[in-house]
Amino acid sequence: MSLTPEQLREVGLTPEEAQDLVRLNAKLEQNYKAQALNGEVARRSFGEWLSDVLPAVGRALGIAANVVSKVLRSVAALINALN
Amino acid sequence: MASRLPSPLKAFQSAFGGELDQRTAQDIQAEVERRMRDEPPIRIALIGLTGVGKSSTINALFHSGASISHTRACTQEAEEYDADVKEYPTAKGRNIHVFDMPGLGEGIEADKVHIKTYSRVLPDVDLALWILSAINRAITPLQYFLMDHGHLTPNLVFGMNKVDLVQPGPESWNKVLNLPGLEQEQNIKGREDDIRDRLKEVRWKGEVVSYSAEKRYQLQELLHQMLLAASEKRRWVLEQSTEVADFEELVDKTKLQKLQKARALVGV
Repeated sequence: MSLTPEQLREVGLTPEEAQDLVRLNAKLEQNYKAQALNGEVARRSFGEWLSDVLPAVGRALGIAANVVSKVLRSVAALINALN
Repeated sequence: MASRLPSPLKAFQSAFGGELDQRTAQDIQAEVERRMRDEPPIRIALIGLTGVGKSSTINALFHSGASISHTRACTQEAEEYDADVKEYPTAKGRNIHVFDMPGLGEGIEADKVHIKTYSRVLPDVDLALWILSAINRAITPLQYFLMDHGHLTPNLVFGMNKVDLVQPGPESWNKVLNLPGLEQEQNIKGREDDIRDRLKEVRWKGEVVSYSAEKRYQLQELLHQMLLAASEKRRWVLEQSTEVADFEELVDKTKLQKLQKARALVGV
């Protein structure tokens, strides 16, 4: 959540302290967001990879094609849920 | 902390809701996990002049900032590409292969040799990270390279390291907040814009990320651009190889506590 210098001054901080904390808060927020975004990029990529790999896994294990199709639909749903 | 990938088993189970027997689901899970483990290591070309901080960048992205001491030469790849290739164990247990390549600007003849090496290596790596130093303004050789060989670099990211040394100098870095001083922050932005403009002059459209490996500053942003540079189906392997050094650990603890208190008082 973003903070403003006005909010911090209202709770008794000096202008300098308020400025410091606003900057620090903004950078920490930016860092969390970037981290979350990177996780999302990775999950989406994994879903794409899995969609590619599953038919081959199904064939290797001798699993019926209709079962593999069901798994693939589930993976597609998983990827959509991440978008 | 890196993300957790969704469990393939959960996906399978939710797909079948009891139709798929447990044994088959486990077989699929085991086979997928085997293929995940067998996914080839990420190959990164790391380009930069001596002293730009190539090793500290690798340590900061893949080993929580700690020095990676146990590297192994990849003899076969080194011979195949005639380049310096090392395998780095990462904190996550997935190894990465790093092609350590010199930057341009050491002289005309040396640059010709380096460009030949780039031509062999760059098409075959997952991504290339070209590290510039924020305090070195010479990027003309790089512009020439991009004009002539830009086609080799669809997976290239430019990182501008050592922003903590930008003018007015290292003493202006705010050690309590682990942030640039206000004047320094403006100068970093100016430097970043300058590089971006100069790369635009040669019609290169990629990203430039300013960061400091030593201060752990903007490493997640750097990683983000690296993820996007890798192919869609290899991004998760890259992310699963990383253990990014924590920026917050270098912020003064008292300041963090003050921030927490202030947030509570304000009610956010």
